[in-house]
Amino acid sequence: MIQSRPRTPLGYLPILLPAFALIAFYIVPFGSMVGMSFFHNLGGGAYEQVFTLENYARLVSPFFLSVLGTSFEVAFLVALFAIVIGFPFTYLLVNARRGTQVFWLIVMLSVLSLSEAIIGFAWSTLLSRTAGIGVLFEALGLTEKAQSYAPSLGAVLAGVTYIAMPYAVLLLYPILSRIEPDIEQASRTLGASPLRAFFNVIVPMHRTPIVVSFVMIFVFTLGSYLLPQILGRPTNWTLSVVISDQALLQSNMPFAAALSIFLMTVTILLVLLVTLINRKGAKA
Amino acid sequence: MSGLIVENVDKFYGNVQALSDISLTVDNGQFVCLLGPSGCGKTSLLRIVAGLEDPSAGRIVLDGSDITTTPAHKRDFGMVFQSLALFPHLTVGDNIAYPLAIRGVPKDKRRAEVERLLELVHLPGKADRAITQLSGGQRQRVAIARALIMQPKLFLLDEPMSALDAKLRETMQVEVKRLQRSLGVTSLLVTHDQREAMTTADLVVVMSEGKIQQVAPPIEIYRNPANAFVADFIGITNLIAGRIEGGRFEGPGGALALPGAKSGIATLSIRPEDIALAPQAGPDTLTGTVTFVRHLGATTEISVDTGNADEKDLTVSLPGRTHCPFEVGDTAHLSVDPASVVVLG
Ligand SMILES: Nc1ncnc2c1ncn2[C@@H]1O[C@H](COP(=O)(O)OP(=O)(O)O)[C@@H](O)[C@H]1O
Ligand SMILES: [Mg+2]
Repeated sequence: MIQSRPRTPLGYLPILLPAFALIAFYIVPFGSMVGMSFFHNLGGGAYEQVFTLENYARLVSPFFLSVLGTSFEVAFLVALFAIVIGFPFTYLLVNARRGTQVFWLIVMLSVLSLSEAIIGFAWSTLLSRTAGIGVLFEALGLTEKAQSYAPSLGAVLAGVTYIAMPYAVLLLYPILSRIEPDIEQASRTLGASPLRAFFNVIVPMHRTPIVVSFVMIFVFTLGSYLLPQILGRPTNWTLSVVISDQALLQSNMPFAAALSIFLMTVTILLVLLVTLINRKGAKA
Repeated sequence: MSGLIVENVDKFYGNVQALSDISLTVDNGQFVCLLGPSGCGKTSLLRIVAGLEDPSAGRIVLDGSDITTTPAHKRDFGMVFQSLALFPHLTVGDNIAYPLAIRGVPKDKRRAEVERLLELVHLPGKADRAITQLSGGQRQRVAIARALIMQPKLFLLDEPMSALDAKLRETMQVEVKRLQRSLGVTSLLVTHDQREAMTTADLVVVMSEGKIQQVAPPIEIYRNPANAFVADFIGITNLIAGRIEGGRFEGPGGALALPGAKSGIATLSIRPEDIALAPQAGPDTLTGTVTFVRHLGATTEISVDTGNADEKDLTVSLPGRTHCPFEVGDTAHLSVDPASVVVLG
C-alpha cells in the first residue's frame, strides 16, 4: 500500500468523487429520513416541520411490536432454512465436477435475476388449490381433497427462502471451495463416517462464515415486502410491508421514516449481539 | 498370514493409468517406504491402502482378510497427510483426541491418552494450545500423535516432512523411526526423498511410472540396484554403456576387468566413491580429461570426460583430505574395484 500523502491539493481529487457520491446518495437521504421521523404528519402526504416524538410513541403499540415480531420470525426462519439447506448443498457443489458446479451457479444467478413479483406469483400458483401441488397431492392420494397452501406463513417462508437460497450459496461457495479435501479425508481415516465428518468437522470448522451468512440473509430478508403481501395473510405481513404501506398508500412519510429507523436500529443491535456471541464462542 | 498384502493393484484415473500391477507385502512391525519421483503413483497407492480411493483392479488384504471394499473409517488406520490436515477449530488436545471422541471414549480417559501421546511426541503440556500457535515441526508432531492414538493397525504417512526445512526434516525422520520402532507399528511412508527413505525404512519400494522397480532393504537398493532407473534415482552413480567379453568390459575411456561377468552388451553402474585414481594408464583403467573439480569439504568431486554417452562425465568422489593432483584440462586415469561394480542388463 502506498502510504504517502498527495503533495498538491490536486492530488486529493481522486477521492472527491466517491466522497461526494457517499454524501449525496447515502448521508443526505439518511439524514433527511432521520429528520422526517420527527416531523408531524398532516395527512395526504403533507407534513409539518416541527419536532415531535409522536411517530415513535405510536410505534410502541402491541400491533407494531407484533408486526416486528413477525418480521424477525420470518427473517430468522428464512435465514435458518437457507443455511440449513444451502450449506450442505454448497458443500456437495464444491466437491462436484466442474460442469455440475457451473450449471448450478448459473441456476442460482438466474434465480437472482428473476423479479420478486414473478417469483411471488409463481409460488402462489404452485401452492394454489386449482393448479398447484394441491392437485398433485390429491392425485397421489396424499390428501382427500385438493386444498390451497397459500396465503399462509408457510408460503411466505417458502417464497422468501427461494429468493434467499442463491445468496446463501453464493456467500458460502467461495469459502467452502477453499477447504482442503485432506481435512474431510483425515477425519475419515480417523474413524468418522462421511456424515459424521461433515457434522463433526466441516460444519464446526465453518462456524464463523455460517454465522456471518446467517446474519446477512437475516438482514436481507427483513427488507422483503412484496412476497409477504403476495403469499401471506395480513397477519404474516412484515414491518417492511407496513413501511411501504405507510409510505406509498397512507402517504404518512414521517411515520414510515420512524418505522424504518426503528427497524434499522433493532437490526443493528441484533447483528452486534450475534457478532459478539460468535466472537466469544470462537474464543471458548 | 499377518501383515499387509497388496495384490495386483491397478489404478486408472479416466484414461490415465497411475498404477499398474502393484504387488507388495508388508510384514507386521515393518517400516516400508514408497520411494519414487513425483507423479509415479506413490500417493495413489497409499490412498488405496487407506481406503480413500478404490483400486481399479486387485485386492488389499490385511492380516488375512480382504479389506478392499472396507470404507476408510472402518479400517482403523492412522494417516498423516502431506498437508497435515489438522482441524483448525480444535485445540491440540482435541485434535489428538478426535479418534477417541468419535468412538465415544469418555472425556477423562481421552485427556489421559492425549497427555501420554503428547509425551511421546515431545510436546508435553501443549494440549490446550490452538493449532495456529504451533510451529511447523510441532504441528507435524500433533498430526503424528493424532494418527497414533488409536494404536492403528497401520501407520500411513504421505510425505509428512516435505514442508519442513532440511535440518528439522532430518530430526523428524530420526524421531519418526524411533517412535515406530518403540511402538512396533506397521508403517508405510511415501517420499520422494531418498535420504528420508534410507533413514526410516526397513524395506524400500522404488517406484517409477506406476510400477515397482525394486523392493529391498535400503543398503541393498544402494549397492545392488536392479536397473538403471534405481541406480540413477538412489544417490549419484555413473552409468557407463559398453560391452563385456571374456570377463572384460570395454567402453568409452578404456577397459575394466570384470571376472565372471556375463558376456554381451551391458551398462555398468559405478558409485563415485568406488572410483580411485590410478597413477598411470594400465590395462584396467579408464582415461579421460578433467572438466571440473569441486572441493566440497567432506569430499572432493572430480568430473572426468571419458567420451561417455550423452556427454555424461564420470563423477569421482575422493575423501576430502585426499590430495587432488588435478586441475581442469589434466588427463586422469581411473581404476575401479570390480566387486563394487553393478552390471545392469
Ligand atoms: N484424482 C486424480 N485424478 C486424476 N489423475 C490423478 C489423480 N490423482 C493422481 N492422478 C495422476 O496419477 C498419477 C500419480 O499421482 P500420485 O499418486 O499423486 O503420484 P505421487 O504421489 O507419486 O506424486 C499422476 O500422473 C497424477 O497426475
Ligand atoms: Mg504424492
